[in-house]
Amino acid sequence: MADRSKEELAKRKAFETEALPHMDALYRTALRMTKNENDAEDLVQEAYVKAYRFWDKFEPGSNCRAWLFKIMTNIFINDYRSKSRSPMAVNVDEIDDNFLYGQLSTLGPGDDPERQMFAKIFDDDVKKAIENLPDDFRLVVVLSFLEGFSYQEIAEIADLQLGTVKSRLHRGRKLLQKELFDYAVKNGYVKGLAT
Amino acid sequence: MNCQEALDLLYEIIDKEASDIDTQRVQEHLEKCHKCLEVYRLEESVQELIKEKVKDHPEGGKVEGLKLKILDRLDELDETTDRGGHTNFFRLSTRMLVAAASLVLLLGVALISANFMRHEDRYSPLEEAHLAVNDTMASYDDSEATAQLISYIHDQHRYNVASDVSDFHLVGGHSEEVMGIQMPHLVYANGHRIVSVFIVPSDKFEITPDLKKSLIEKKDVRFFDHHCKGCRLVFHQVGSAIVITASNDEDLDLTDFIPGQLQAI
Repeated sequence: MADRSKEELAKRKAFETEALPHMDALYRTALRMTKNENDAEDLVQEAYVKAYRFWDKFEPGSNCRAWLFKIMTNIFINDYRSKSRSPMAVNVDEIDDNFLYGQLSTLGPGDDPERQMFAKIFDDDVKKAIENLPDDFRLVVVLSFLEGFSYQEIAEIADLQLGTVKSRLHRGRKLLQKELFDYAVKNGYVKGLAT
Repeated sequence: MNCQEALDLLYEIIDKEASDIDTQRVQEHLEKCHKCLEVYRLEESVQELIKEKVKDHPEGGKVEGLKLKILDRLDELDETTDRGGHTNFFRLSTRMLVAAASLVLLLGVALISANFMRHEDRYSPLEEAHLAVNDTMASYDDSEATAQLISYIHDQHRYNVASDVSDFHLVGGHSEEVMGIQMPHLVYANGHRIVSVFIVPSDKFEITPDLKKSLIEKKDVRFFDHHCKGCRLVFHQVGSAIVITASNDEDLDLTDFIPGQLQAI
């Protein structure tokens, strides 16, 4: 330690100032992606270790948060992604684009039917619904909804074409809405129309 | 703008990703079309509600504990660097590392095929591969190129390449032509100990009898082990590829470095 060079210390300091503050966000996303606390912790640690190793590749002044997410996403895809693709419960293309509107508009205009539907849904239920999305959809939904990344940023983080980001986000949303609606119906929060 | 066009832009508008001109045109449509306005209102509201519900703040203690763990890992990395006597192991010694890795590779090449056993035959691929190291070296420091190689291996052979194997860390990889076969070459390192992993399409390569010096059996899985002059190679066929791990470290369990679902006998 004693003979650690100035350069080395400066690197460590810069890393702690620039990269560490994003840990909350990385952990939040890691939790939704891995679905459990232990794996999420491991994933975030791996991401930071790798980021530190490649810190000289980071361009000062560029978006550190997106850079960290890219590293973490990469590790997730390679090491954590469920071995067998989770089978989708419903075929997303069969869900009507205006599914939720079709269902909820009958509750009566002006009643903010979606508020009625969401009033009783717990935060954990929404998280659960996100976790039930297939990996590919979940990733873009989480990066967009939780972290507020732009389509372009998501494309770079997840190494996808812009069009793929858009379509996965669209389909992920539809799946999520359907799942939440079905859940609300099952628990008697709203009445569904016969589909 | 008709209803369909307006609805097609729904999410881009909600996500504030639409162009100014599209936003303007949708705005004009919504002023005239009550139904679309209702859809937009509902979707926007649902979006907000979902976002509100998932905006969680992880428990303070949990995050603090994680931060300490990360700082510990960074300390470990810094200390490894100090012990190695380099200001930055990954910056300065990449060249050395690659040179050492290529030596391992070259020894491997020499052993793989009987054709290369004669000195003059062995010398030329040795030299060529050695020169090639200078060209491929940069990619070792490039996480992106390594990531691409890893995803190539995943697409091609359905192997998940681990970034860490016991105390070894994946420092990089590149695609390389050896014996006329294009193959991914991954390098793991732990300080100065290095392991190379080559992934060779099984339709292009055969584990010839002279390579099968001894057999390792581990949990019903069979590996061929080849010790020779300080270099050790372990072969295993995994699905569509033959994975060859190489090291000059005799004590290492090279079977741990083989990615993919190991094939039982």
